[in-house]
Amino acid sequence: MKINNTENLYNMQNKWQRSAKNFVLFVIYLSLLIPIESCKKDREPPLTDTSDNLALDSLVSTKKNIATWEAIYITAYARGQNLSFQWSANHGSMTGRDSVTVMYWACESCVGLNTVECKVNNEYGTVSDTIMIRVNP
Amino acid sequence: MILRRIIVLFYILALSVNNIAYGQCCTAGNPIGGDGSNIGADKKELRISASYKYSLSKNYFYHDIKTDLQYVDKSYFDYGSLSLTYGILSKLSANAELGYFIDKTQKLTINNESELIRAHGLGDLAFNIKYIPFRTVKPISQLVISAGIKIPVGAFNEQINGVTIPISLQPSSGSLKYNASAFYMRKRPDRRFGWNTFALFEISQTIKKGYLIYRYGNYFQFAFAGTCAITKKFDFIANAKFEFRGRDKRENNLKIESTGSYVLYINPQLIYDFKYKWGLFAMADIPLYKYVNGCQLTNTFSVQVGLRKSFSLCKSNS
Repeated sequence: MKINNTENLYNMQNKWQRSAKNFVLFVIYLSLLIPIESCKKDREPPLTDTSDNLALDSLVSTKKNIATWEAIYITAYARGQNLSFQWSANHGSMTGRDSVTVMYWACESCVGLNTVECKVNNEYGTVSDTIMIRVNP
Repeated sequence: MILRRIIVLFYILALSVNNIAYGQCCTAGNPIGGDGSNIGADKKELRISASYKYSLSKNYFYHDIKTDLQYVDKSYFDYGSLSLTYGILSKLSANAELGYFIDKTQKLTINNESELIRAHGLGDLAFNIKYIPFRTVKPISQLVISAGIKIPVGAFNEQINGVTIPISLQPSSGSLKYNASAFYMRKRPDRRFGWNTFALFEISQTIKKGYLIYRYGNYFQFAFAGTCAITKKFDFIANAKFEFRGRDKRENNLKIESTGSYVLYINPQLIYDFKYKWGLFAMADIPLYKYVNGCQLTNTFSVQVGLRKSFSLCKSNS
């Protein structure tokens, strides 16, 4: 009887040891799996803001209220690659200063509230914005 | 023969009287369409005319006083045009003209920096129908009434490095225009001298393009000319031309103060006739008196030279 009890105790110990061993192995297995999953996520492209491909954030002029023949500079703040800029004004004249800046002025027949428009485009499309310049006599 | 020479004389005269110089702030003047062939062509007669015109504007005027504004160094254009006139019936003829701005340029100084704005391209396409209610042989006289349209087929979106140039420097006016005119000439066959008179009225449609809403002011022209046959082949014409242009309008029907003018021109012309219906002509537009609304850049002068040839498409003459 005593022998049987000892045998049972020994079997139970073995059982516990196997269970513990299995548990450790399971934990190790899980710990291995998690990095693998995270590696899979790393391979996917990161989520980006689509406006980074093409955006015209603002048009900024050195002045918005000018006299005739007074020159100001208007700059387009845009994001994206391979950008090209197109400028137009309903009244007044402009010449390009650099790729994003124009010089604007107006003569006597352009007195009033005038609209300057900038269109920016690349392979993703075209965006535009306007700025109002008041020309005083 | 004399009648034909007289007709050619007045035809050439007309080439100049239809040239409108816009007195706006930025422009050197803008030739109006039509070959100005105030006389009608004979039935089945084809007239071809090619001309070159140079126009210069330098001075700013405030009303009728020259100012010392020095922003625009000069504004000028070189313009070539081709005109065809065909006699559909003995009293009815049609005319078409198309011009090309070889160079339409403005040099100016802004912020102590020199700027050059330059464009080139097709101008407006003009069509005119001319009708002769009556004409006589003795004395040589003719009344011609005409109606026409100008279509802005030319370049109106010219850019420099992505920047659209002002409308006054665009080759095309950008506006559909309608005109009507009347012309009367009279000369006695036995005299060297004759006279004629011409009146033209033109209205423009509003330009609507993006943020641009613009309408040129109404235009009226009246001219009176004395003609003199110096030799059999050489003629001189002294033409006086009065131009009135109303104020332009922008959005909300706002009248633009510094547009519109009254200008009186003297317009001398020389004409030389060759054999086989070839002719050579030269003329100038010189402003004698200018009154502008507000302050505007005005035309200093323009000169024009041209060559023309007439063909008779009748079988009997060919």
